[in-house]
Amino acid sequence: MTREQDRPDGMALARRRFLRAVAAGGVAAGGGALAAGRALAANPENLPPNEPEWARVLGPGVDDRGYGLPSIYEKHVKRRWVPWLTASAESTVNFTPLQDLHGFVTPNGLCFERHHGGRAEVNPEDHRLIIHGLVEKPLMLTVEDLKRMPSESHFYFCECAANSGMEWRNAQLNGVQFTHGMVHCVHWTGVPLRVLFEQTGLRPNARWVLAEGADAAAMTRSIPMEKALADCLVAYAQNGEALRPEQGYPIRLVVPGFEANMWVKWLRRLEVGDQPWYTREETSKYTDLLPSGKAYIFSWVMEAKSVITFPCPEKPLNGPGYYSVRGLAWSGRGRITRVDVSFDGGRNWQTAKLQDPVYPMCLTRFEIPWRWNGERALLVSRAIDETGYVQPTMYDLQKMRGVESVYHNNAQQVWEVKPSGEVENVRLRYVNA
Amino acid sequence: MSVCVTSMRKLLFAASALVLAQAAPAAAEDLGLGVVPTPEQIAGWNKDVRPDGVGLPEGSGTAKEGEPLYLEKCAYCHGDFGEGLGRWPVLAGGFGTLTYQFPQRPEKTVGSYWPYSSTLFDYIWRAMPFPEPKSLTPD
Ligand code: HEC
Repeated sequence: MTREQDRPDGMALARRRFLRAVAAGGVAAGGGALAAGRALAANPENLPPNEPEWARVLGPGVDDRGYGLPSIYEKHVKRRWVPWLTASAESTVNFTPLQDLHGFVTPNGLCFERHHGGRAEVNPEDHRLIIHGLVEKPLMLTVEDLKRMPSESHFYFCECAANSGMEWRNAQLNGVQFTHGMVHCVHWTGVPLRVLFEQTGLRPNARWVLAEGADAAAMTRSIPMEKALADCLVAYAQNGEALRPEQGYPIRLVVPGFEANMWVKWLRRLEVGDQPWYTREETSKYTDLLPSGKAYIFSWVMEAKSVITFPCPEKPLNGPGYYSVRGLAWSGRGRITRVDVSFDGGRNWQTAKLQDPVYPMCLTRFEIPWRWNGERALLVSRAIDETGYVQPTMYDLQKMRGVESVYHNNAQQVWEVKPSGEVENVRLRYVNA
Repeated sequence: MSVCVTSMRKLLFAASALVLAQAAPAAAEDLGLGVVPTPEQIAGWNKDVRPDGVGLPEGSGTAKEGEPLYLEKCAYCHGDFGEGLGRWPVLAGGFGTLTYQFPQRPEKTVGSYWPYSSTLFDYIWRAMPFPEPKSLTPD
């Protein structure tokens, strides 16, 4: 497959497109980010039949890096944020660069961050988890105590309820990193909440758990006990190493399939009660306003969703010919069973191949071959999960929810591929709908 | 239609979580890990307040008594009247705007959108003022 970097004018294109996005949506984030760190022109001295420069010198030894880093040629692969979204960098979000990722696992340093009071730097020695309320015996645990307990490891996606939240009214941000980058997928290791509640015992009226973080925002969410006992974890590791501070080091809650705000980071307290608490993050925020003026509350599950990550605005096409079109699909209700891809805006659909493994509540990679004839095309994907649910069009979603929900936008994403190979975020209008 | 089903399911799920009787986990072996926290240790962190008033600390106050405190510690972000300065959150106003449709925008504020006043106490006590969280006392 030919890649964007191989194309002499690829960067110029990317830069032009990026500036246009600035004009449209005011995205000032990471200007030139697309161009950063790329070898713009190959040095013929390094190409066959010559010996490249790195084959003629000794490289640094194993004492050079105690902790490995990505290649210096991958510097453009990074989280980015949009300063105009919020008043401060402490309470906002940055986005996972989905356009640069492969497979379904997100590297730890690229998992999107959403904090409400900045990233807490917690010393694990000084951290405690207190479990109290409607339990038989309250318990206070150290991180070491948790690590001695029976553990489980699972892959789960973690998606902010506000992912794609800027796209309700219209196509807004011209990049898959910004439209869909509030999701990541990690191999979590930790102690099931069930194990912890076996240790404390539960009173008969124990129906809800309040999870609280140790950060400035003291994030609090009410979790139904049914869910807590089903599959929630107190995680201390991600992808084989300790949690990153951005992800709640030393411990965070994992609430599979539910909106990321409930995955309380820097977890320090679990209070068991008989009613929900109606905290700020489950009333003022993370509720979905409908046209009637009423709002859904406790709309926790992240419904089936998918997006094409290649091509996308950041990764245009390089002339007609063969391409593997790729994307990600996920559902908070279980496994993805099928992903369909359309090249004509949803008139005709073809079924894509799902790459193994396909786990429940986990990102699933799909791929479909495409011979591009160089004409304008409208690429769309739709995910179907094991409950039979089909990812809706934005038109259908708006009929139900209006455009002011902010949260839980799982509509199909449409990319327009132009004859130039450029790709743009567009919204389809339904003339006869 | 699929979209209807989604939303209904969300409602049903929320409802079932509320009413389903809880099966307590089976008695398990005591792992002997951790300690029982003292009532003082729990109280230090257990500051959440529920809509039914559970969790409210002792104390009293009036809006008049709170005004100088608000002007000193909050107004430089949220404005003298809760109107929000610059891009900082608006706290007041927005009444009757929740049904506004495009191109008008609903304005969700403490006054127009928050269902319970307990949440206001709970949230400010734990998270505000933004640069100095947990610096306020109940009285
Ligand atoms: C430095 C600026 C700043 C100061 C000072 C400040 N706040 Fe805030 N306030 C914020 C930010 C930022 C948020 C949103 C935080 C988030 O995103 O989670 C917020 C959120 C709030 C909210 C929730 C708004 C909503 O609709 O969800 C309330 C209520 C509030 N502040 C009250 C106060 C009070 C009372 C004080 C003074 C004791 C105060 N704030 C001081 C910046 C500030």
